[in-house]
Amino acid sequence: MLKDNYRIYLSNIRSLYQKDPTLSILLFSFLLIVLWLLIFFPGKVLTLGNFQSMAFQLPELGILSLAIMITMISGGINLSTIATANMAGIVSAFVMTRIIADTTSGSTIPLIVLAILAGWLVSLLIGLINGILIAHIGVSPILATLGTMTLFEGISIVLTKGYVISGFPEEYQFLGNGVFIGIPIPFIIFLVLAFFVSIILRKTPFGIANYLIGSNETATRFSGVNIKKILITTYAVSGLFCGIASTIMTSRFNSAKTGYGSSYLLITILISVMGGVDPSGGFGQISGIVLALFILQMISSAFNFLSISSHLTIAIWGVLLLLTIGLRNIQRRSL
Amino acid sequence: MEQAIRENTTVTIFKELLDNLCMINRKKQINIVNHWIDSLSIRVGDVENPVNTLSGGNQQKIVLAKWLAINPKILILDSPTVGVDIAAKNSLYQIMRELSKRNIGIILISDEVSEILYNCHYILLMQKGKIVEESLPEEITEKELGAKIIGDRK
Amino acid sequence: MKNIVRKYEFYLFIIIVTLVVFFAVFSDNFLNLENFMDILISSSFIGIMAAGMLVVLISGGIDLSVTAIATVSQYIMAITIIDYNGNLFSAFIVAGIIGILLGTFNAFLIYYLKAPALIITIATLNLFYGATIFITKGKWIYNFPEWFNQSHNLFSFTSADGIHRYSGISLPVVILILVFILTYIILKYTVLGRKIFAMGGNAEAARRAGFNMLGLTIFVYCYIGFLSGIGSVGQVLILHSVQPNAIVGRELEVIAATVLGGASLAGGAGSVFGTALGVALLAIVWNGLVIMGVSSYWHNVIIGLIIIFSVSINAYKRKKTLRGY
Repeated sequence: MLKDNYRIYLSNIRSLYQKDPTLSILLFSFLLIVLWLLIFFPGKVLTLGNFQSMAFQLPELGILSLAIMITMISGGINLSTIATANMAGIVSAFVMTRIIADTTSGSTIPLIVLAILAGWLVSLLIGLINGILIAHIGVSPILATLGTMTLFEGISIVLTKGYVISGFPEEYQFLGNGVFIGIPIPFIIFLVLAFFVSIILRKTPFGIANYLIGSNETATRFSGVNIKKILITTYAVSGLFCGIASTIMTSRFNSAKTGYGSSYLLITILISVMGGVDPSGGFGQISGIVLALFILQMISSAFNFLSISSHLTIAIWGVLLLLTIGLRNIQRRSL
Repeated sequence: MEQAIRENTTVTIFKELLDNLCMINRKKQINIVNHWIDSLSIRVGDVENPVNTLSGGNQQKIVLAKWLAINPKILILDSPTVGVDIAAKNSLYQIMRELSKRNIGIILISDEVSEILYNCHYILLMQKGKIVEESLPEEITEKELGAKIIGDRK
Repeated sequence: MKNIVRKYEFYLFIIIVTLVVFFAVFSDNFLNLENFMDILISSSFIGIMAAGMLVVLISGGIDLSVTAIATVSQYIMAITIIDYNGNLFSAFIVAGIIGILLGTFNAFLIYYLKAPALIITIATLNLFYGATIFITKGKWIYNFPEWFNQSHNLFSFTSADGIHRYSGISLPVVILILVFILTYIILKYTVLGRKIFAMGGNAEAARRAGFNMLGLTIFVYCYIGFLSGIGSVGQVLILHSVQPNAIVGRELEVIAATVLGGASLAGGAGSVFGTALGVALLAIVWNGLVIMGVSSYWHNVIIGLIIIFSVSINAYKRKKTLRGY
């Protein structure tokens, strides 16, 4: 009787695996890591306090991962995410601290909204520039985004002279540090964005076209799809997401400067690839990204707890990326 | 190639499948795909499978379905049977005849003499962008047509 | 395609000449031998790696980990020289071997993992660099033996005002020139070179033609690894020290120089002359800006603009010819 149940259980798992191997492996890894943390670090890593701080850190990584993910699905990549985010953050910071310095008249909320929108506008513009370079002029995404990354990193340096801009209004800091029904606000923002991206990718012509373009751009072009419009939109949205991420980051750190999160690039690529995105394009899903995000965040927290040097951590992320690609290959061959 | 059959077949008509929320109506999409699978006799396991799991001939039918979905008045087929197995080839010819009967104009571009001679209502021979010969299929033999194609290639 | 490339290099040359004239007019310090030597020396490191990057790009790949490989080579070379003594030759050999080993690692991963070289080398970049800094704690090394620190020059001369600043063509520059010549010979006159071009033009066709893809991949990434090692020694000779965080982050400059010179990320195109011009352009711009007193904050902005302009022009041209508009 027990054996039959066991068999049914196993075959269920096997069919789940066959239906979506990536997701199943991620789910399995997730559970494995939770187990590992519970056993080897009892009460130390998986604490409520840590959950809270993870839930604060995770969203910015998550949104940046979303930004990279959509461009990778379309067969390209966006290397300028961090630079875009920093640029947007700096613009927001400028608006808040320099341009409108007088806050005695009325509440600061309109000012904050203005600052945030300014930042988002800038990031959207950078995304548009990327999109136009890639779709209209035909520059390879690697070069286009490397170029914009350098350019806007440079503009950020010129604007800030390397200094940090800080001292934002309390209401702004609330965005990055506050809670709503016990859930950190950044986390809510991330969940909402992830939900929307998931629906758009799976159910709208725009989303599906991205997969098709990533899979075979020529065939898609010959199917009457307006590739230019779609790619420009994708990169513009990617830029916008970087802006949103920067709002969360600058609010959390209460400061903006060039070079924040420069190590995030590798991690966001890692999260995307782990989450099922094929670096050559055509695949990827939100559920995978979210799981990968959680897994990496937990590992990161564990490393933090073990006081593992950040350099070693980065080296490990590199190895992890290679392993993930390798495993994906093996899995693809066996199916 | 690795994308689902369902998406590939309907990529040309995404706009028509949208419901009120600007999302693709899955049911409608699958209905249309199944309709084409039936009318074109495409051998498909599951519409969720990637297109590259189909045979060459069936893949070609998907491409055909993709464009038939927009209800064209004229269909231009450029070398549609290259690399397709015999059975699928005949199937494709059958389909072309059906479409023609339904008053869909078909321009078949090919360099296979027999394909043109036995399927078309009218033959145009083109060379260097110009029409050099016109003929009804009944008025010319396979050999003559072949000779004209090769012979004029100086 | 060849005609366009030839024309393109011509335009590049014109731009360089224009820049030289521009800077010479706006500053007295630009047009003299000393400054020229300065430019050569400061571009030697990027130039040596750019030659390697050219080969990689032509083969259809890319290598973002070059700067990390250079850093690792530097460290290991420095340790062997300081702890075990040796000579200049052995320094280059050690660095070169490390570069080849790391390059082979890259090559195997790229070949067997079948993922874009970009992603894989981003991973190895962080792996190599992270591990190195972790192990060495990012220390600077500057206690090199005497014979290492002297300037190694080919000729000697006195500069116009009678003060020896630079007494000759220093070793790194000699190596730069030799590397360019070697790369030119390989690409133009060997079967290997032809195969690399073919591989970049159409990898599938090359595979079906029976090319040893694994062997070619290994050569290409080992070549750039080797050059990164060699170049890193040159860098140490110039700076008289090993600075771990001075190199990583400059990958883009290497790629920019090569792409400026006409190499395509898609593979199958590029020339040594073009790359040399690209390196020269970047070095002259940087040097000129410094001399004109433009703050270094603008460095990235200028480089970014140059990259965007040049790749746009390249891409647009390519688009027009392919479509036949």
